[in-house]
Amino acid sequence: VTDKELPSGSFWETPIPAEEFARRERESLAALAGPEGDEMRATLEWFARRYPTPLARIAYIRRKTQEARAFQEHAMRHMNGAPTDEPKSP
Amino acid sequence: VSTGEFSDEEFFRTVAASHARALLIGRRALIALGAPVMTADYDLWIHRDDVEALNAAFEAVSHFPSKEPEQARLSGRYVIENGERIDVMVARAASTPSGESLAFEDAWARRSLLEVFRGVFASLPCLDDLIVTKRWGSRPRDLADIEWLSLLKERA
Repeated sequence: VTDKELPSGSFWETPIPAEEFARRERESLAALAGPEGDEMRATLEWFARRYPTPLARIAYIRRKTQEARAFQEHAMRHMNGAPTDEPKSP
Repeated sequence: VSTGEFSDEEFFRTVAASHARALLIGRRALIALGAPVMTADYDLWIHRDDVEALNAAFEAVSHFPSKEPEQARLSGRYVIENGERIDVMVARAASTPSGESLAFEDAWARRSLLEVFRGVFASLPCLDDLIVTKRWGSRPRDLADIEWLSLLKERA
């Protein structure tokens, strides 16, 4: 799972005006003809090969989403100066 | 009352057993089809006459609706939850900000069936209709999803 799919800041969640969205959609789809599209195609191939069933794919993403959330929560606690449960350096 | 431990198998088995006309939409649909995107929720779009059937099936596995059926039909959305959160859309049709409309009946007629595991099938909008559902939100993350859906169309 690439950075492109990491969850959810306000940027990702803020609706774009209709005309602007249509323009960006056209640009995004045109970009799929280039290296970005090739990278995404390779990722699709890997994902389908590594997790060949819908259920296996959902289980993998569920695990990765939980890991990402745990990491975000840990990072937020750390930034706020709260004690964390990571091992202390000697 | 159960705390709602809920497997993905149980989710799909419950939807199928409800006999509700239910389309899996949102990012879980993309994942099931093969796109590696992140999400924490299930999203369903159901026929407005099938709210009671879906709720009854989920209540049997200790997941409960946030609204009474009539209220859900009026507002067009509700949530079924306990261990799992399921966002349910009940609208007859929805439109993109640019005015492109998609009716449930049409999406249902064009649906594709995906075997999620042995003998259990999920109904999904066809890829073109899934792309339209992504335009409803018109967020940057929806653009990324449309890219994945377009690539899945290439492979279909």
